[in-house]
Amino acid sequence: MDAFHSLMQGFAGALVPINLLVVFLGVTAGTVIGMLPGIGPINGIAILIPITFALGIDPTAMLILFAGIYYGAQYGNSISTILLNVPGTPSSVATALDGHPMAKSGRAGPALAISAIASFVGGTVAVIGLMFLAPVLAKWAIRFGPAEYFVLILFTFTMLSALSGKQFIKGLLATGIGLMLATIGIDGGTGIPRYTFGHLSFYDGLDFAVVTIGLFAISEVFLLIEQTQTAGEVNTKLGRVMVTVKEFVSCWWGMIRSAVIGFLIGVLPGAGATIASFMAYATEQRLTDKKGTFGSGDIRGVAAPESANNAAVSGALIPMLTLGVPGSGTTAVILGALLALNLNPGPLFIVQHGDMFWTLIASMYIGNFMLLVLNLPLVGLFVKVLLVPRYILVPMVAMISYGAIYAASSSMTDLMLMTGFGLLGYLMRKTDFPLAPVILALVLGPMMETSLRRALSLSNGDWGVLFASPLVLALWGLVAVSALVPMIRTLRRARKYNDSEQH
Amino acid sequence: MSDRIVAVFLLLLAAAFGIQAWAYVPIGFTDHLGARVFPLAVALFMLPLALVLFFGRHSAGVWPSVRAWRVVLLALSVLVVYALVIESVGFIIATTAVFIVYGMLYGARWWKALIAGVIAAIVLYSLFVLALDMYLPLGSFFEELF
Repeated sequence: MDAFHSLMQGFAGALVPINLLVVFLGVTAGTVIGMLPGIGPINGIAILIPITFALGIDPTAMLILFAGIYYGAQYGNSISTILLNVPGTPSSVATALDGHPMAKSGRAGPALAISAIASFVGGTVAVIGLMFLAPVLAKWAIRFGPAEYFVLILFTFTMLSALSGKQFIKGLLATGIGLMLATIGIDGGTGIPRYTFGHLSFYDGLDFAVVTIGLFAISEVFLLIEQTQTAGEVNTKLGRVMVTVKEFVSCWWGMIRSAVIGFLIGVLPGAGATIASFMAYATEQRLTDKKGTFGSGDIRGVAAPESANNAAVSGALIPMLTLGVPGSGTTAVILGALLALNLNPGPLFIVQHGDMFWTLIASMYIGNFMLLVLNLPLVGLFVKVLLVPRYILVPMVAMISYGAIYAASSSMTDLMLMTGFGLLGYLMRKTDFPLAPVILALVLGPMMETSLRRALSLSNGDWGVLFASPLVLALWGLVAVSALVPMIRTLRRARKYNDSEQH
Repeated sequence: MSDRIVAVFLLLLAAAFGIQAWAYVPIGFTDHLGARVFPLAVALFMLPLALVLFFGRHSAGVWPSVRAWRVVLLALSVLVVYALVIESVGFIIATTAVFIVYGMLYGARWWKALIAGVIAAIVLYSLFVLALDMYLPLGSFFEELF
C-alpha cells in the first residue's frame, strides 16, 4: 500500500488551510469560468499564469489552482449547457441532448443535481485511477529515451490534429504554425537567434501566455461581438436542486461505467472529454435505453456524459504529469506554466516531486467533494452570473486579459502581440482551423527539437536512432495509425460525395 | 474559396520560413542537428499539406457578413489603440473607453456603458494594483490629481 501511504501524506499537504483555500478558489472560479460564454478553462488558466508568476505563488498551490479551475469549469459548463442549450465547449454537447429537454420541461433542478453528482462520481473514479495508473506509467516511462520522446510528441500532434477539428489537414497545419512560433528565439543548441529579425524582445521566444490569451480569449471576444444579439431569456428559477433516490439508483451503474470510459479515453493524448462524453452517452443508450427515452429528457442521459467528461479531464492530467506530454490545449497551458517554473513533468516528476504530485491528487478528491456540497445548495446563486449582460461581460473578458498581461510584463509589445494573435485566432476559427494544436506545438516544439538533438548526439549523428528500438517502432506504428485513420475517413467521404454528385 | 486563399498564404509562409532557416549556419560548432534542420523540417512538413489544402475539395464555409467584419475591425482597432495609449492615458481611462465603445456596439445606452466601464476599471485596478501588488499605469491625469 505504498500509494495509499503517499496519498495520506498528500492529504496532509492538501489540508493545510492555504491549500484548502486555493482548492476552494479554483473550483469556484472554475465553475463561474465554465459557465460564462467565451472564457473557458484554457483562458482562465492562461490569464492567471502571469498573475501567479508575478505573485511568486508556490508551485504546488499553482498546480492545485489550475487543476481546480480545469475540472471546476467542466462542471460550470454543464450548468449553462442544461439551462441555455449553449455548450461552452464541445465536451458538453452530449449533455445538452437530454439536459436541455429536462430543463425545458421544468426539471432543471434534477438535471443540475444529477450533473453535480455525476461529475463528483466521475471525478472521484478518475482520481482513484490517477492514483494507481500514474506511478505505474511513470515507472514505465523511464525507458523513454530522446528518440522515443521525439516520436511520442509526433504521435501527440497527429492524435490531437485528427481529433480536434473537422479536417485532419487543418489540424496538422495548425500544428505547423505552432511549431513555427516555437522556433522563434535563441536556439538552445547553437545559440543562434532564429526568426527574431533583430528584435531583442523575441530572443527569449514568444511568451506562451500572450499567445494563448490572444488566440483563445481575444479571438473569442471578436466572435462574441460579431453576433451582437444576446442569447435568449435565461430562466434562473430552478426549483429544488435534488434527485430522488429512485433517479439516483437508475443512474448509478451508468455513472460508474461512464467514469471508467471517460478516464481511459482521457488518458489517450488528444482524445479528451468530448469523445469520452459521446462514447459514454452512446454506451448507456445501447445498454439501458429500453424505452427509447434518451434524447427527450432522460436523466440517465445527463448522468453518463457528465460523469465521463469529468473523469476524462482528470485522466488527461496523466500523460502531462508522467510523460511531460500533454494531450489537450488546457493541459498544454498547464505544462507551459510548470516548464516556466523549471519544474519538468515527466517520468521523474513523481519521484522528485512526489509530495507535489500526491498533494495535487488529494486536492482533487477534496475539490470534487467541495464542488458537490457547494453546487447542490448554491447552484441557484451561481446561475445569476448568467444574467450579466453581454455589453459588460465581453469588454470585461478583454480588459482582464489586457490588464493581466500588462500588469505582469509592463510591455506594450506584449499587448500588441496579443491583439495580433487575437486576430489570427479569429481568422483561424472562421476558416475552421482548430486552435489547440497551435498551443500544443508551441509548448512541445522546443522539447521536440531538444529530443531530436539529444538522440542524434547519443547516436553520433546517425538518424537510424529514430528507428532503433522496438519501443520507438511501436510509437511510429501509433503515429501511422493515427494519421491513416482520418485520411481513410476523408477519402471515403470524398468518394461518397462524388457518388452522390453523379447520381 | 477561403481555403484556397489560406492555402496560398500558408504556402508562401512555409517557403519563406524554410528559406530563412537556410541562413542559420552555426559557426565553428559541432552539433549533429544544427539550427536549421528543425525549422527546415517544419517548412517541408507544411508545404505538401498546404498544397493538399489548395487542391482538396472544400465546403463553402460560413464567412462573416460585411456588417460583422466592420464590427470586428472596429473592436480590433479599439484594442490596438488601447495598447498604444495605455501608458499615457492610464489603465482606468483606457479601460472605460473600451467599455463605452464595446457597450455601444451591443446597443447599450452610452451612460450605462460608461458607468459599467468606470466601475469595472476601478475594480480591476484595485484588484491588480492594490490586492495583487502588480503595476498598472495610472496615467498623467490621475497622477497630477493625487
